[in-house]
Amino acid sequence: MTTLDEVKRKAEQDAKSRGMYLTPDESLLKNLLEGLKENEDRYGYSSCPCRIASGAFDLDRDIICPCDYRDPDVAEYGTCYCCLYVDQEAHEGKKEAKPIPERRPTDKQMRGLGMEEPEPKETTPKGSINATDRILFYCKQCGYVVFRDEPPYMCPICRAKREMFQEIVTTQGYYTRNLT
Amino acid sequence: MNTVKVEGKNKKNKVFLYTLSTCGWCKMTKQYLKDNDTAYEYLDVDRSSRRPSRTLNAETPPWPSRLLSSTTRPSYPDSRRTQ
Repeated sequence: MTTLDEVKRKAEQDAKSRGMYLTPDESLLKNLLEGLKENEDRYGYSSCPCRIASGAFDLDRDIICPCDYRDPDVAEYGTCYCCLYVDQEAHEGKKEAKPIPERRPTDKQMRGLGMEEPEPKETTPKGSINATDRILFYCKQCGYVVFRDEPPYMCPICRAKREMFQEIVTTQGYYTRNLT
Repeated sequence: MNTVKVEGKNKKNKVFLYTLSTCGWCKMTKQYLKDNDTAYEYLDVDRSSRRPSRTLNAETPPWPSRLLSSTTRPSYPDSRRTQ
């Protein structure tokens, strides 16, 4: 059992280290934190309160808060899907927090609902990393490297802005050759 | 848990919400309807016995998830913020 305070502390810490803020709307914040706690108790992981979880960890991995879609959403719209995390403008009330479109791909949603077949097992050789969709980015200021779809909202190490991230150009061959 | 009915004076239209019990926006929508004294029904999908899940067997009736577009959040009243 996790407590509401723990959930809040975790979210606050994460927001701080990523240059984000929690929603300034007190009642929404309370509702979202309670939703997160409820999901943590129900599923064993803090799945997004505004998305339906399948209950299977593997299918919900991308929507465990902070979800995979938070950084690109905060960068594009100023808030994440559920509005728990917002950018500075929304925090200061300069921008209104509104519902935003769902970034999670439809096939992942359908898989979670059991309406589509599970993802085919990866056929890449054991031990190699499938680099077809995810890319390496590095922070031009401090050298921090991330392996994901898009650069993070802010460098968690040196707090450089998103624009400071540059794609590292590699090829699939690199991974299979050097990381197996 | 299944469909819940909420009474209200305004019964002009039939309002039915598919909601998540954990969602902050769903709660706001429910509150909005209540504040405007509108009668409505809702189903908390995550608590429903018809909850879509891989863990349920094939006989479970499918949840009408196709009603929800992939690009939009289930409708919520825009006027909420302007109150």
